[in-house]
Amino acid sequence: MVILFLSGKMVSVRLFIAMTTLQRWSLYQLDVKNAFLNGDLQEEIYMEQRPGFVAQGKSSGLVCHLRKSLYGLK
Amino acid sequence: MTRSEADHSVFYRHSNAGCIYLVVYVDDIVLTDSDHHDISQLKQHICHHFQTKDLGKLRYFLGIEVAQSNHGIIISQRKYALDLLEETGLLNFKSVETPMDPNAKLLLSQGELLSDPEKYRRLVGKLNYLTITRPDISFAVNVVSQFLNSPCVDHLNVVTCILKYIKGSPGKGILYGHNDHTGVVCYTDAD
Repeated sequence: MVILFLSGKMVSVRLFIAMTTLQRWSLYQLDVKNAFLNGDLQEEIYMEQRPGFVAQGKSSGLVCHLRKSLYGLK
Repeated sequence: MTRSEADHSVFYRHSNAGCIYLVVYVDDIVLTDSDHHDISQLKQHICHHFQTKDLGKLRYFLGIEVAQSNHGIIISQRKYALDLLEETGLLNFKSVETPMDPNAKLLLSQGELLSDPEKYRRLVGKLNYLTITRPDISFAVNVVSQFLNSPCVDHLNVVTCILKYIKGSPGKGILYGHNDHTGVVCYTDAD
């Protein structure tokens, strides 16, 4: 499984700037919070529990079921 | 919205009311349109699906400072350049007038091999990123990029020269002026 993340080409950004200048528009910006948590997941994936964040007691030996894809997951 | 075939991170919509364009860079979104009404609708739509922060007019994007005014748009990498100078310890050095000695002949194995080639590669990589708003150093950066494999002391000296040139004008950038035409204008120095 490969998760692609969108990273625009600098050429596109320059084209945006040139185009907005020519049309006398304005450029605006949005920032997505916690973007790395927003990936959709089509497959069933499990993850080992992370050190320092391990379930204690009788529920030990469990793994995590991922509901969302983490940024950079391969 | 339609996804662009040329660049998959660009989305657009054309309609009778106007057009709207959007480019995504991982978690940063830059958008522009012909009608302010459309843009607030689109922002609302995006906010509905993702937690977003409205940063208003575009001012800073991937290390590039953007200034929008009635005269046009200026992009520069002043902070990026100053950080690079600070990192290399060249902030207090005297600046030079040209990025490179026009008569310098650089060869593949010239002088002593650098003990830390990684540092050279990192620097050249950063200078390469700086060419986004500094086409005046493009040629010099192209030259020093040819020695990434086994950089020598002489090559690093040329890199230092480029940095000292940047020191003289860290805030220089590109102005996209409102000239109302798309023609290419050529300037020559004929003396």
